[in-house]
Amino acid sequence: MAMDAFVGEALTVLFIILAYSYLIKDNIGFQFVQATYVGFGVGHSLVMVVKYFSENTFPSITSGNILLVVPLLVGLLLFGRLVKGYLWLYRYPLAILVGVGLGLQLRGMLKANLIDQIISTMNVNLSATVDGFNSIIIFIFVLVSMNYFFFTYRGRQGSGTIGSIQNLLMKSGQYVLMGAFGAGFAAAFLSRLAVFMGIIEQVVTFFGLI
Amino acid sequence: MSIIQRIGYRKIIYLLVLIFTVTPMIYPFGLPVEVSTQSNDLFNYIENLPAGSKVAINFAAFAGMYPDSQAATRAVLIHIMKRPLDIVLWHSGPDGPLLFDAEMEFVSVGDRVYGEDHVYLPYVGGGEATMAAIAENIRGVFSVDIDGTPIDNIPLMQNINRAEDFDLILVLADCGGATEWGVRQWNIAHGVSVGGTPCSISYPDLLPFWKTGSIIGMTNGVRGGGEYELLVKKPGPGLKNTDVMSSLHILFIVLIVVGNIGDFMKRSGGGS
Repeated sequence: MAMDAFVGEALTVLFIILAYSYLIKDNIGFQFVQATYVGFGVGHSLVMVVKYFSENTFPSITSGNILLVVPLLVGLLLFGRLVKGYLWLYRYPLAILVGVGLGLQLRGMLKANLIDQIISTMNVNLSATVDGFNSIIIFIFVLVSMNYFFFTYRGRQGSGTIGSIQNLLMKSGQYVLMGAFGAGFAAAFLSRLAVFMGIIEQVVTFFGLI
Repeated sequence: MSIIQRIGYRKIIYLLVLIFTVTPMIYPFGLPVEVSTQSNDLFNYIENLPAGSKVAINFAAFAGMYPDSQAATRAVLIHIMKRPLDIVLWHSGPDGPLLFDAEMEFVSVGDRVYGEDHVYLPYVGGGEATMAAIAENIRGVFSVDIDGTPIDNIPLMQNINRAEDFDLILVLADCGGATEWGVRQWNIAHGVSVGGTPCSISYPDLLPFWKTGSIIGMTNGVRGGGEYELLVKKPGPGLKNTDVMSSLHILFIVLIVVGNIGDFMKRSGGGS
């Protein structure tokens, strides 16, 4: 292994060990790694943004696309919040960012997140297959989950059979939502675990164990 | 006070996690991996694209979460570089260019010619708005490639300027919504098929889009990486780490069961 590669890998492993030393106790080594990581991340991002501006935006402006100066200046107003007395300036670019972002999202959201999802849920497959079973389950789960959010009759369910059915539907909706949140949490946990595995693999590889 | 109580339960669990992670890395079990329909769909779609089809790639990786989707991203890159497809790739994460360069050490481009068969564009921020802007007019966002060559001087880019010029967009290593941006700004607005290699966090949110057909196929984190490695017949970190994942799952199930039994016994014993 070349010397520079070795030093790079050794530093990586040292930083990993220092970062995980937090699990035993907070210490200066961990704090150093934390500050270095954040500093490196911010510095690197800044360089990449400046690089994009210098290679793409500025040549476009100088080659005649003078209109690009407008978004550039509006973007610079965001820094107004750093100057006392000019805080109000940053509200204009922020309003544009929120407005444009929301407009763009809504354009696709209505179809992708609402209409297509309703069609897909309503399209129940009544065949004796796993897909068929899944589509029925999804249809029922969507209905009971939505029922959970009918606040108009919550807490004043009728008595007798109707009351029991209302109660059952609400409880079912609650369990479906809990299941969905649990699955979401498990997926987030899985991702973090994969990152942990990748990091430990680097350490194990460095020490020649694999 | 027992030795376990003196060390602390939490630290014992950390140690067990470390042991259950390192052991299968050194001694892999080679547990079988079943390929999911979603991974299969992505593979088949890419495999069946006619020669000369144009594929846009948004490399959305950032270092903090990259290990989760690394295997799948590498396997998809291996697959796509092997096929006679025209590729235009850009980065939507500042770490992207560094991670992509490291990844390409494992991916062969074969006899592809840069500029004619594939082009790499630089990092550009801006999230969903930028994705929409690229779909409308790629020259409005990029004027040069990653090496500073004007894109008008690149042969491949001569007939490419908007989303409709592409047959597929792949969002690789997404952990923060880039695939959903692709669905809204490329699929719904321009009718371009979307595929990707999201990490496990994003995967459940994207499944409804796969069900409706907005996403043609995708992989699921490390496991999806293992599946795609099987499909492209290039075993790598995905299959190896699927073993580790299985080993850790067994540990977590045992810990959850033990924790619940302990809690149940404490309650039934009237302890606090």
